[in-house]
Amino acid sequence: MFSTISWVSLVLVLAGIVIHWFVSPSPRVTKREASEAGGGRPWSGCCGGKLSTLACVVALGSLAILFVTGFGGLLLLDEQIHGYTLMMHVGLAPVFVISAGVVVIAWGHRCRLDESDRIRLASLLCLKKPETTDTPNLGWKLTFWLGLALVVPVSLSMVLSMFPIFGTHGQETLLCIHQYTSLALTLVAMIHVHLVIRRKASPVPPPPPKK
Amino acid sequence: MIQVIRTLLPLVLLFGGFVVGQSAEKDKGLGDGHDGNRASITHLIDLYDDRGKQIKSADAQPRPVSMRNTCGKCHDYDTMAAGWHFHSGSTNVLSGRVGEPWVLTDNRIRAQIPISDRDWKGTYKPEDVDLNAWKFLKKFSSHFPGGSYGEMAPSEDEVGDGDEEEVDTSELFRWEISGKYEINCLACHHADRKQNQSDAALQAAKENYRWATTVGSGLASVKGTASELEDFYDPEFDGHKIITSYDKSRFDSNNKVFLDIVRKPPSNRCYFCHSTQDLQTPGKDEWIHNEDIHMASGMSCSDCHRNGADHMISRGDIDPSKNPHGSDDYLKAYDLKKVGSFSCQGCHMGNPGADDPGARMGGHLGAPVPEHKGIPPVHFEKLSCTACHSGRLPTENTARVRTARMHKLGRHGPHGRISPQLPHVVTPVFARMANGKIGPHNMIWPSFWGTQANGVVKPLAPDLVREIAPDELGMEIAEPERVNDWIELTEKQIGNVLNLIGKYEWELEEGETEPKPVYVAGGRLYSLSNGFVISTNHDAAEPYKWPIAHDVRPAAQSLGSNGRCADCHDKNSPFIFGQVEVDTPIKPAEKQTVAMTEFGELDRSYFEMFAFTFLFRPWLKAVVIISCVLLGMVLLLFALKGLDVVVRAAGKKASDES
Repeated sequence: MFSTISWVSLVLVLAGIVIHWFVSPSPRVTKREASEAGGGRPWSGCCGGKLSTLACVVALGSLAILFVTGFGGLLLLDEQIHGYTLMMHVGLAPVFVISAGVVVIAWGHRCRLDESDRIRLASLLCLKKPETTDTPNLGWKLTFWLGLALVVPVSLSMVLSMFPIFGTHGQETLLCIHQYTSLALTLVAMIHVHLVIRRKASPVPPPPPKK
Repeated sequence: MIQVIRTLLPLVLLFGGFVVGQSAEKDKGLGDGHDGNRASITHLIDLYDDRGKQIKSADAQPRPVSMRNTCGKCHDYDTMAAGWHFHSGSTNVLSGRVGEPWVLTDNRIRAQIPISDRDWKGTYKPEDVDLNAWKFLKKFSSHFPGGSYGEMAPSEDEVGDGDEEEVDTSELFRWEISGKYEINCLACHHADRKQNQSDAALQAAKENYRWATTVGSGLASVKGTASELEDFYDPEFDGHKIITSYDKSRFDSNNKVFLDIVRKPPSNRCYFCHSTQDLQTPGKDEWIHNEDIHMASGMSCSDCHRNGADHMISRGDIDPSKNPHGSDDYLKAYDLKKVGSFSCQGCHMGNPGADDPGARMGGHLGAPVPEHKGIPPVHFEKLSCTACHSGRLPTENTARVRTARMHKLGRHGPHGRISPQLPHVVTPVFARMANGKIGPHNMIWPSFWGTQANGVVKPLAPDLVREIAPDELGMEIAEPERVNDWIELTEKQIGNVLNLIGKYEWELEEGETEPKPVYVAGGRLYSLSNGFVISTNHDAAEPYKWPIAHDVRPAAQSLGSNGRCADCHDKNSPFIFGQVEVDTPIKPAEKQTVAMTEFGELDRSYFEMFAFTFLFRPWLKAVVIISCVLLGMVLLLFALKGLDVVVRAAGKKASDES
């Protein structure tokens, strides 16, 4: 069941990304905006400089490895994670969680939703056409926060299972939570990376002089 | 005429059907059914001897009680004889799960050979070591339930008829004197405290097989020893030399005798043959041991090990929904939907394959549903329940136990003075079971002289080896020195004995290969190569092991209880990294071991690394929890800020509208 859901959701998200890449026009932002929000080079220019860049790289890299080790056997061989793969998975998990913590501190302020994002979000929630036509930051900001919010259940579900708190049924539920939130985190991270990469900094023509 | 036939034919058919129906009902046995009344049935009954004659208190020379004729009056003896305890010697024997074998031991020739009629890998058939029914009884009758070999006395037609397996005439006479060892129903079902299996064992040791049940039950005392009588002893001519004296107070005025028969055998009855002695704390320290937790809570063996009239007692198979042995015959005889409900899983968690909805829910007899807090479910796929809950708690090195059947425990009297130490039973060995899970096993290292032909190794009968190489094996030494219970065997001795066996003139059929002499011990196969003794690995030298389930320890003493991962996932954990003793008469003073991981088919280096990671497990927990708290706080901070913006926007909108 989980394997099927994983395959379907991965295929859907990847297909969505590809379609979005070709169909939707690239957002156009000013260099200043891009710089402020880490636009052109998504992992640079923020507070902490190299540290936050490193944290981003480590977080994404470890997430990728965690995904491969966690989902590889399940999706390709239909077997649960075990052996050295499990050891690598568990060993890398704290690295990911720590880097996620650094990322949220280093990037949290820059990724906060501003007024235009709020209006855009409110419009979307009310199914209205937004007043501002160009709000390229909302997508990657939302996925940023959603991803980091998912890190908490992903991590806690496994750590809690290491304490003698939950019985067999609880353990199975925790494993289920870990699997599904991990899948969601992976999908959100993929969308986030896609949106950030697309957010290329390109000079916007200066506004026409006021008459 | 046709009219007459037409009229009579239905009547004849009806009568025929009635007769068949009656005879079928008769086969069932009056006492084999159950009318629904739960009250126990009072067994105030007539006793019958093996000739079918009723035994009366005033009889001058009464014969002993025959179970076939006494119990068989109301119960179908042959149906019972098909049960696990009694069918081992029959031609359609079921294998079932690997279990404790009989072990033929001979300290002088340094042999311990697992014997079983069942198709258990690593055991040998009785006939492989020249054990016919008579010899089998002589070896193993002290803890024998009767039936099977006990009733396989050869007929006179089989004696000297020129067949290959000609029956020894002397044995025929011995059978006549000793009588058959019928199924000893009272050994299990007689709840009277007078029931004394030690006495039955003593009678068996005297070859008084016919009398064993009677004496064991306390109904009579017997004077005389069959084994001391001559082959041609005939009570008609020689006078009665085995005297049966019944306790006359047991007979009422109608010559009926009350027997305290119970449907469910008391555990005390089971213990006589199914006890295990821990040799780490024998003798005066036995008192420190606890019973199985089920017993301590007031249950009895037969609460779980149940059976119907066929006496196919449920064996507590771990996976109640699966065929545990891959045998179709087993499934026919053994309804897993029913017996599976009385396995560990069936009782405590329910038998998903059961027809009875209650059995699917589990909780038989108030069995608690285990929570297994903190134990990842993957453990239940890899380990049997017994791995964590049963047997002796593992220590760095395996221990030794003695079992009632192998070591003839429980004989109190002159016949109990000899206390055999062989075979050496090593426990607990955590090995892979037939169902792929790891569970605790008892184990013996086979040791025997044998022959190898076409790669197949077969043991030689100990008596033959004694005959071939008496001097080399030191038969003449009255009190040989023993090390670790073994009389030490040197490689030179092995070579000499193998040479002597090689010179033995075998009766070979045309085209049959000359067998090569071999010796098996300590997991190695010894043979001669160009006059030198060499040792190699061979399947025949593999240790014989059988899964154990008792004693079950309390939950608090189970491995991994209350989140104690280090019970197994520690670099010093005996569960994975323990050492299994190699038991051998060759250099017995040296400590020889094999890693436990060999038996569990586990990758030792992986588990060492895995255990190493557990050193960092507390750090991992701390780091992840701190990171999650930090993440949560930052998320909360920005969520509150976002909420602030929303509230401000809502307020601004309201003031704009006003």
